[in-house]
Amino acid sequence: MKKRKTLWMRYVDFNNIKDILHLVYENNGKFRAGTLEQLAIEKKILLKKENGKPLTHSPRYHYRKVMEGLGLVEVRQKFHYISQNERVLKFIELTDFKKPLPSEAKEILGEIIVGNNDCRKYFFDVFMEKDTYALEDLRKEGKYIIVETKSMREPPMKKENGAEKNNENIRKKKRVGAIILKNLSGKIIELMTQDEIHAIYWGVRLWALELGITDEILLSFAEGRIIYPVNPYFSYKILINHLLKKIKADNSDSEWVVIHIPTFIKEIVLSTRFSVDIIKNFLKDLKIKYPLSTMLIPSSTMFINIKTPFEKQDSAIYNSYLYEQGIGYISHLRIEKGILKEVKA
Amino acid sequence: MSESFIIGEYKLSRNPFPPAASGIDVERGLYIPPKWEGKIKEYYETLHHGEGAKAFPIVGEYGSGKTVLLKGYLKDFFENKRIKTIYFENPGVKFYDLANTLMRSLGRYEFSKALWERCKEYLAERGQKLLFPMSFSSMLATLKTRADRERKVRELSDVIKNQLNLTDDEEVAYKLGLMVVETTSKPYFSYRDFIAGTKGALVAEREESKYFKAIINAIIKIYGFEGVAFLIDEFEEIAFPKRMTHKQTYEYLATLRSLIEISEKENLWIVSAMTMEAVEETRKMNPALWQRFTHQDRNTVLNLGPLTEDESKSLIKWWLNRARDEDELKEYKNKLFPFPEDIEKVLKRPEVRLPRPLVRIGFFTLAKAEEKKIKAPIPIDFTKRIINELYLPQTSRESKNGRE
Repeated sequence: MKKRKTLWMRYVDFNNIKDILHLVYENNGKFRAGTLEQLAIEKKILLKKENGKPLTHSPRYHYRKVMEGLGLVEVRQKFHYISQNERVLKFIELTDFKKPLPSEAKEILGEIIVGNNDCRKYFFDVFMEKDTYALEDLRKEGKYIIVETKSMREPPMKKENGAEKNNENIRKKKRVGAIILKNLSGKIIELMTQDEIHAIYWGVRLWALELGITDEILLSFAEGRIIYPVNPYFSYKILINHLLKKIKADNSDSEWVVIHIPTFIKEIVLSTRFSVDIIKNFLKDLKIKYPLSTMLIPSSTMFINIKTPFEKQDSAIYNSYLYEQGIGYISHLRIEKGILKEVKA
Repeated sequence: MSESFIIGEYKLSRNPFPPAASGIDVERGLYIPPKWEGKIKEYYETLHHGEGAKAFPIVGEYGSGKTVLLKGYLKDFFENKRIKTIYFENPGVKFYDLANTLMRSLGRYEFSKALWERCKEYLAERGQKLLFPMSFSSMLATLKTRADRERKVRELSDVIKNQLNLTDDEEVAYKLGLMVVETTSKPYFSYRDFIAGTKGALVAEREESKYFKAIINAIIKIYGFEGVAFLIDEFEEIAFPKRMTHKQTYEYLATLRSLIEISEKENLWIVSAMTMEAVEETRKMNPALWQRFTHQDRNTVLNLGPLTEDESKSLIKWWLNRARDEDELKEYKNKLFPFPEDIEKVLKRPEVRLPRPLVRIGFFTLAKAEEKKIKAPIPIDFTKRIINELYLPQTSRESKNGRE
């Protein structure tokens, strides 16, 4: 592949990638870029979700480049060939054209992405202490990271202060990335350019999130987004122990203990790296299992929205709340202390 | 026909439960669980003698009885102790929003008149004795020229500062004097009066806190109270806009801090009803301030949890009593009838044991039972059906992920 100056990773729908890969597999070495794109449009793969119209040139190009970049296809003399990599062949075997991706296929895709040098260099390395690792190692040993954005570092400067600054000072100021991915041990990845932000922050990061390799929590703009490799070895015992500890720690004379759900999720995430959905399901199950000793307390969305000045972050913040149809977002769980007698860790 | 059924069968003159069960036109003497009363008395006793802020939050979800507690209980509680209460419903985040609400509730003419009456005795000592005591309106009528008004403002501000000791700040005293004198041309308050720095503002610039303190002292001295209590209902609710800027966050915290500071030194009580999420936010924004508000280890937070089964029954009885004032119904007072005596069997789920759900359940059960001409006592299964319609029990998981 020709050496590129820009990064090839972009957000793509992996179901579409899989379907295009099947087209290549069935027509191995027969298609050049234009023909492949044309067929993908005819087969209703590369269409816009909102209106069914064909995708424009840029996203079509990115779909092809992502397939090349991940090593799913090889382009020789401008013709597209299926990769002979064992993982790719297994991926094709496990998937069907126009059918949803099964979890085993997602797992293979995860292994391919984590194994990809560009994806490692710009994203996954920041979670790991060591240089050699696979998906399994990432899940076992990965550490959480915090995303720091430019707006978090630079509060709007007051006019009077701005006037005092001279050009020399501005020039001396160290240029830092618009987005910094920070591991607490000090390892960082700086995303400096728009290309890097598109490729990594809005590309690889979202792939990892959708494939369940990583999960994220965002409690407030000031704290920043926390991204972590998901630990798939869920333990009910750890969660219930944490909960019981919280109940026991309450020394008020009230029969009830009130738990702030986003804070509870964050505490669990930082210590266990379980997925947010698993923790939320645990809390919902508690309500079903112990309906007389638990209460879900709804919150006004206003209180959720004020946590960030950026509307685009709202949905990430909502994700740390439970949602109940007909009730809305739940911010707190009230538990009767008497539950200690019923629940065994 | 329908009315006779409710009287004949249920021994009620009408359905006493309000249908919406929110924004109840709160009256005094409402049912308050003894544990809440106990806590309030305990906090009052503790804070009354202490040196810290005379403030505590009431925390509870929607429908837990915060407003009812403020209006239907705390108002009387404080007024019985000769503490004037001022109820603020969703005031704005800025300090002048509170000042505006406070002063409007007192009324400019009445407040200025009362302040002048208090100043009058000292003014008289300065050779202004008259054969007949001068009324407030007569005094205002004498202020014809700008020089007259200016002179009067100076006289008043001198008394306010040096005799009544309402403040030690010249500017604050002057502004209070101005408020009295300018009542002649403007007998009402307007919002802009309390925005410091604007033309004709009655608030001293950058001294809002001192100004507020002087007002509190004035209320205590001129109306003969021993203190003032601010009952603030969810001021963060309106205060927090959709996107809170740094400035708005600062204003919210600054207002809260100013109130707490005043309450540390003056006999000002602050009781603020808040939702749990508002507590989380305030605590995160300024943990030290929150600790002052809740007195750290004493943890003066009144959490309104679900009522016990007995408290729930007492609340239902209280509402039923409202429709049993007639002589022929009096023997049914303090009875759960037409609800069955074992109604607690359907009140096991904590979410239905909050005041608002209980009132809603009461209303809809009676309304539907009356419509269907159900014989009393209303069967427990009938009530259970109504409860489950209003508050669906959780039996399965539904999830929705808020992803970008």
